[in-house]
Amino acid sequence: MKSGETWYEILEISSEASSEEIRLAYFELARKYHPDTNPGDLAREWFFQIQQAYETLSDPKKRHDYDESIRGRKILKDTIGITVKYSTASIPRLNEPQVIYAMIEMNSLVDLDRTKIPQNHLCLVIDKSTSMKGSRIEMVKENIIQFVEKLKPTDVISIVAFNDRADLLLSPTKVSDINFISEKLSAIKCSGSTEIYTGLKSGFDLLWGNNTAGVRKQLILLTDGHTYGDEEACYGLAQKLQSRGIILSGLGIGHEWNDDFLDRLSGLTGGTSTFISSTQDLRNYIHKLSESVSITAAENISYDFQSDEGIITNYMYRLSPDVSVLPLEKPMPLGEIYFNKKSVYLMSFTIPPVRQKQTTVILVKGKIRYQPSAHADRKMRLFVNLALGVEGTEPNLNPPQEIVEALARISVYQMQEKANSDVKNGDFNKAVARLGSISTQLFKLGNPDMAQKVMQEADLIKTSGKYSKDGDKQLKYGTRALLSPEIEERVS
Amino acid sequence: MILCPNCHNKELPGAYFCGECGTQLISLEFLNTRMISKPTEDINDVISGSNSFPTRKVLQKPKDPNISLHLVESGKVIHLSDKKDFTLGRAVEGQSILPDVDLSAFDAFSLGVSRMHVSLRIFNGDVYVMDLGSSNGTKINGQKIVQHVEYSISHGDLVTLGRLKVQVLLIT
Repeated sequence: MKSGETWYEILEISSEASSEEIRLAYFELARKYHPDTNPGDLAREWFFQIQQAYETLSDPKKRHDYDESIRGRKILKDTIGITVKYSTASIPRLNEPQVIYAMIEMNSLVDLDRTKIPQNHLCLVIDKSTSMKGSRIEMVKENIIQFVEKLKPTDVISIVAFNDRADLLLSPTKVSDINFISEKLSAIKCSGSTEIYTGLKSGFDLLWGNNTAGVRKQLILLTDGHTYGDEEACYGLAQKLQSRGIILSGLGIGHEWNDDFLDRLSGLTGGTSTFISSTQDLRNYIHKLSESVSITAAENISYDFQSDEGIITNYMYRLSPDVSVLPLEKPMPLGEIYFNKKSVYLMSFTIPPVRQKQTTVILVKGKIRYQPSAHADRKMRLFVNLALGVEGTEPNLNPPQEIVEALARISVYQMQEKANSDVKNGDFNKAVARLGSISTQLFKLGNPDMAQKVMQEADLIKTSGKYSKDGDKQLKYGTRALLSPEIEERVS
Repeated sequence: MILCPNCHNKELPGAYFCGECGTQLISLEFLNTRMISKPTEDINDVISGSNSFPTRKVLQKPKDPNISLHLVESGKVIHLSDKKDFTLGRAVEGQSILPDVDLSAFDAFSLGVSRMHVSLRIFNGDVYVMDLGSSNGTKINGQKIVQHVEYSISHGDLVTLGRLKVQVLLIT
């Protein structure tokens, strides 16, 4: 037992945990550290501790006495809160499949403590292939310098520049050493092809090799090209990053990069991909990033869940603080939570016909794990079940406003995805018809600029069978950005 | 199954938007639907017997009306097909996304009609108009409407796109 650790911390639960939560936490950890599967003294010691913790906390009397004995000691309480809204108050008894939506909101229950902002280590992995030559790399260099100036002097930055091999350009350096950083940056020369895995691997080694506890680590990949043949290896690395709580953000510059790849790669770590079509885009991104590093309340958040048999999770989007299409992995990485800002997620499920005598449907049963940023060595978990009772026979025609508004925008984004695959399949008439529906909906949602852009692209597809140079990405990231409720606030 | 009233795509119960064409499948109060009161002066009615506005109780699903557009200046009447969602505007050569109802034959260009000017939507027996962000705006019975907000209209209402006057006729 680490000094000062309580039974609650051993079981990675809050001091307010219910007896059911204690039981679930115990079973999970006992399985993980069972001596049969974990030979070695350390695991045996852990297992013993877990047993003792459970023995005490599972007995109400013993727990009460124990709570008295540690009264006054600081025990971590839950630092994030969760609320869930559903598209319906109960599930109608239908003998056909139906769709249910759930909106999950998470927020920090504690306020920002400026004395406890963790140190950041940001590793930039920069593509230096031939195509980056000229204005692209200059734009990157210039913006990195501006970014570095916005960080805390104690934060650390490291840089890997890669083409078909990776060069460690800057080993972890305090950002106060800005002259040294800009000297190193100016030395980047562009040549060769793009092999993202080699760059990512160096970045990973840099971040993980400097494993100082309590440091918040992030990897930012900037690329303008496709990587060939090493996609799976990249995904594997992303999963490793995720298991170590490191978020990867992917920035695609220009029109030639692979958006599906970058989406999945960043999504696997709980991060997002961003389309950089101009210096202004990069500036906006850098601005957001430099703000976010000091306001993270919880990180390394993931949702480990199971559903009742036959229930399909159709999708899960993060709508706020940044928009992301989350990969349907288990556990599902959810990203980070900021102080004073809600994180909003929307899930869609298809459920099978309701069985006779069935009274509840468990959409999702599981736990959300996270690390409070102010206590990066602590793991916490919240048990979150999404379940609804069965009642009535009519679908709900009066869902919560927030859910319908989010779905209106999601439907535009998803039609755009379909139009994209229509174009890829050579089905141009279908694509044009679909873009017509998209532009009408965009007009209705009050986005005439984007609606006009969609009409222009439809004209091009009709005449040439192709989007404009970066038209597909503009529509994808343009309609995706609409998913954020923040846009709404800014407009109104 | 739910059938999309616009494109006849099938969706599962519980869905609120058509996955194919994006049409909203439910009617909601909070979606900013506003009513425009009828002005006192009479509007030139071309259909006989249209002065009686039936008061409707929404206990049963009301029958959707058929829409016809009466172009006031030229006196022409356009009958709209059995779709439930239309866009009105002006087609431009070379443009591949066209409004469902092209008004260019009625001097739309010189009267300031935008390419995608308004939408008309029929839902549960009611008809709604929304200005899609047109350059010169839309009026209902002389009253300017807010863009991107749906307004419920009745038989005989005069909708002005830019300066083009269109009377909406609903036949149930």
